[in-house]
Amino acid sequence: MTAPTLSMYLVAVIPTLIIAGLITALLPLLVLLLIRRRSKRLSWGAMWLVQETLRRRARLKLLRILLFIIRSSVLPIAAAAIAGVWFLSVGSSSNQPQLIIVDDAIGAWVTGLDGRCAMDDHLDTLERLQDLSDDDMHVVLLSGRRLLSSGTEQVRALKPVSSGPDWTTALKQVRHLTTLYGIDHALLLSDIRSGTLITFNADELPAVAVHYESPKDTIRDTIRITGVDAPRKVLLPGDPFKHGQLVISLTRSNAITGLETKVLVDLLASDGTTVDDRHAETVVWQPGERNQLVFMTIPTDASSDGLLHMHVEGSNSPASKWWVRVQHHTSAEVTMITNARKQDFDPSSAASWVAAAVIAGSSDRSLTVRWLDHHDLQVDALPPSMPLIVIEPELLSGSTWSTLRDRVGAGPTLVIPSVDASTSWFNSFLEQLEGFESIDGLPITHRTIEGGEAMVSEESNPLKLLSGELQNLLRPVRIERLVDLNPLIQNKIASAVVSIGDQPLFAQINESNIIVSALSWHPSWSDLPIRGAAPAILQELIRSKSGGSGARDVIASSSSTRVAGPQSNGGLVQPNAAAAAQAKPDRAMLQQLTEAGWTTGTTYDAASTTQAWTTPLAIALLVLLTIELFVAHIIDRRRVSRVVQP
Amino acid sequence: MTREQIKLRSAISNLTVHARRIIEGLRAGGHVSTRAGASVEFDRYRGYQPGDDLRHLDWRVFARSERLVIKRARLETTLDVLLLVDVSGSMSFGSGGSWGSKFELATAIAGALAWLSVESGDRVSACRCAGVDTDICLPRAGGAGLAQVMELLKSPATSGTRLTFDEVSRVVVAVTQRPGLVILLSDLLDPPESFQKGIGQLRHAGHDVLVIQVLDRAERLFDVPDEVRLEDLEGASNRRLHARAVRDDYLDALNRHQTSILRTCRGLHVDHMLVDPHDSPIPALRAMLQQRSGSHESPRRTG
Repeated sequence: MTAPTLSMYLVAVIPTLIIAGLITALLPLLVLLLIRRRSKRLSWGAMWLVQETLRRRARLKLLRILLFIIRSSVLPIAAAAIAGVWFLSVGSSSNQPQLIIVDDAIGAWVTGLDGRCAMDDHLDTLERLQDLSDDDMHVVLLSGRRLLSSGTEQVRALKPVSSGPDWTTALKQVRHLTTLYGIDHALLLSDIRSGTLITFNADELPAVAVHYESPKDTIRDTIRITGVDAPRKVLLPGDPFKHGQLVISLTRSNAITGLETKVLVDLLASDGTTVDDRHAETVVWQPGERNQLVFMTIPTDASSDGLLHMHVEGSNSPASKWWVRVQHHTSAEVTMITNARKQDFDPSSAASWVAAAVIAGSSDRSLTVRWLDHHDLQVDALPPSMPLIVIEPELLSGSTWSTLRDRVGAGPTLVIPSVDASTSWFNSFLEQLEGFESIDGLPITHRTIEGGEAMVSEESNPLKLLSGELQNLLRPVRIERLVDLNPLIQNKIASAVVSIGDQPLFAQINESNIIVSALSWHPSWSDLPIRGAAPAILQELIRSKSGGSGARDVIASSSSTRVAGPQSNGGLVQPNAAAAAQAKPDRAMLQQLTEAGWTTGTTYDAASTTQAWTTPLAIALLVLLTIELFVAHIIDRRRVSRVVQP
Repeated sequence: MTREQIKLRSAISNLTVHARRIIEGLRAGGHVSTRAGASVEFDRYRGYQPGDDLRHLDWRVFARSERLVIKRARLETTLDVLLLVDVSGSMSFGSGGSWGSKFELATAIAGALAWLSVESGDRVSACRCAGVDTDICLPRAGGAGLAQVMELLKSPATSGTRLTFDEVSRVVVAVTQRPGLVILLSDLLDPPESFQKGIGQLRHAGHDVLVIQVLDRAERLFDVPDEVRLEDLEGASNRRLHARAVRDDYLDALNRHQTSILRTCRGLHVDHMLVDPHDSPIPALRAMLQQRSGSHESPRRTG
């Protein structure tokens, strides 16, 4: 007899275990069946009440499930929101960021007769804005350099760059910041005396409030009004209202929604007598809005100094502080013909030159620049005697040039071949260009400005040179008494949106005083030269200078070689990111500039977008908590279980 | 006459049904009219004013005191009493109370009130209401009125129907010729909106309304076996449930329902009374009638 093995033992035991397990598993079921009582049937009259009870129980069950889901999700959302706030605090320190566009192009560093440059005024402004609140101040530099996360200190540490304004990059940065932080307007600090910034198209930057100001033309005073209806007097010397319009910049320290502020202005003569009736303008503050411009047209014939008796009233907190800046304008008008369809093209730089020159020629004028896409230009409609300024005529197509010349060439004409004549190769180019008496068989009349290599110096400031030339052109221009800022008054922001083929604008072209044609020549930036004769001429010239080969390379490097003069790109060079990346700097020139204290610009680096989802999360959290309170209130409502008594 | 009605009659025969409001009637009776007129019952004197009818001058007073006074009298009218009895399926429910089912108690109370009204000289009518069907008789005085009410109430409750009180009220308002006293006898176990709308229609038509709600003890306490299958007396929505689990929620729902009914009654100045077939309705009825008799005196006005 063999001893039982382990397998035999298992075979014998396992069925017993299975049966025992089955019985154990079925035991509860058996117990349930044994104790189950048959339900009694009962005819019931209050069945409606029973059904109401069961319906309410089902509803409460659903609400409890909802409450459980809400309470389970609150914690993760709160954690995510807190994390978002933490990220936000890393990137910036406030929920109310301000967007400042600082014109740090080289022209902003040129000092005037008073020893101050525009950048000094920018810094003053920034410091005052920082005094008003602790909000973040995002600074976009017009030179296209990186964004600055805080205001004054970093701006103060800036050094001049060998670059003009890069509107394209700057506006991209502005668009990015306005989208990211929900900013609906920005403040532009530029050394251009006055005027209006044109947004290139409405989609790109629909509502950026831009305010040019000039140290000379701005009459400014800081009025701190603590409390409501506290009138302050501001002395406005020099006949402030004779030529122009008041621009009152209101900045408030709180951000209460839905308030209205009324700005009341009495114009007093220097002896204190009232010169004019009271003028009032009501400002409605939008949520989070802290800065607004108030435009007031006060026609008067007062010829002496004026006293601006101004006070602000409205539903303001007594703790509110106000910063009021007063500025007045006079105007001239220029219509700018350009290729607005190319977003990489930067016509505003060229316009800045003309604008600055116009203002330099007449120090009490501001400038309204109207833009017109050259595709929509009907040259035949232009008045024959209209003054014409052509920047870079070598870039015009033959047909356009001939049409312009035929139609408007009869009047005063200024040809600016390039705003940057500082490099020797370009001077040579100009000399050779002047040798051309015709393009595509059409004659060219030149009136070029002198500048040459001394362009950097104060004495040969191209603004002055331009203004000297422009005097002849501007002399017949009628200086309008008031700036045409109607769009600005309606929108309360200093912006004018120009679309391609804008009919009202086109209709006004006959009212313009001067036509400026500024066109880019680079084939990758503009389609104008493709069919024209200029590229061929230019390439031939460059080829002759560079030994007959690598013409493209020379063209590409030209943007960095033409960097010495103020506002050096002047619409000729568009240093966008791609072009800057391709540019090969002239080492000798760079070294020379570095020794002179210049620094090179850097490309734009996009800001972090981690905080974009913080606000929706916080809102979702609030909504969830509100729902939770409501549902809990319904569920926990006191139940009345006492018996109804007769 | 049923035994219950005899019992009721002996207990409250010394009471009188009075309407709270003074209504206009056609016949002289025990109720006060708002209209002044010639009558034997003196009310009060008031000073003569130019324009008063000289026929109402009390010359005897003038002879005694040389004062011109007008003698005012009170006009007495009859009252139409309409007994609205809910005969829906739920009224047939009873849990062994001494007064039978809810319907039996309701008809007993209705019969007693009809008797008392006829005895007071009022005209009486009745209405059986269930669903949208209403069986109504016109108001009549005396024994004929009582007989038609008793005839109408002797049929049992209608199973499988539910009371739609707003529809019933609409019919009652259309049929009744003048405002009267409407006494509703029902368990009111229906959505309160219908009750609210129906009462509002009656009050808007000028009727004085008395609501006598009949609820069985089992319904009030939810006194049912733990494992029970409830079969609906007014429909086919039967439910099996564990009574202990839903008892508190049921009582809560009943309390809310009652609160809604009482709020409606209070808002529309309607008297409400709750009776139970397990308890005698006599004390509650006596208190109600005494209260209405007392409150009737204060708004009395004379012409």
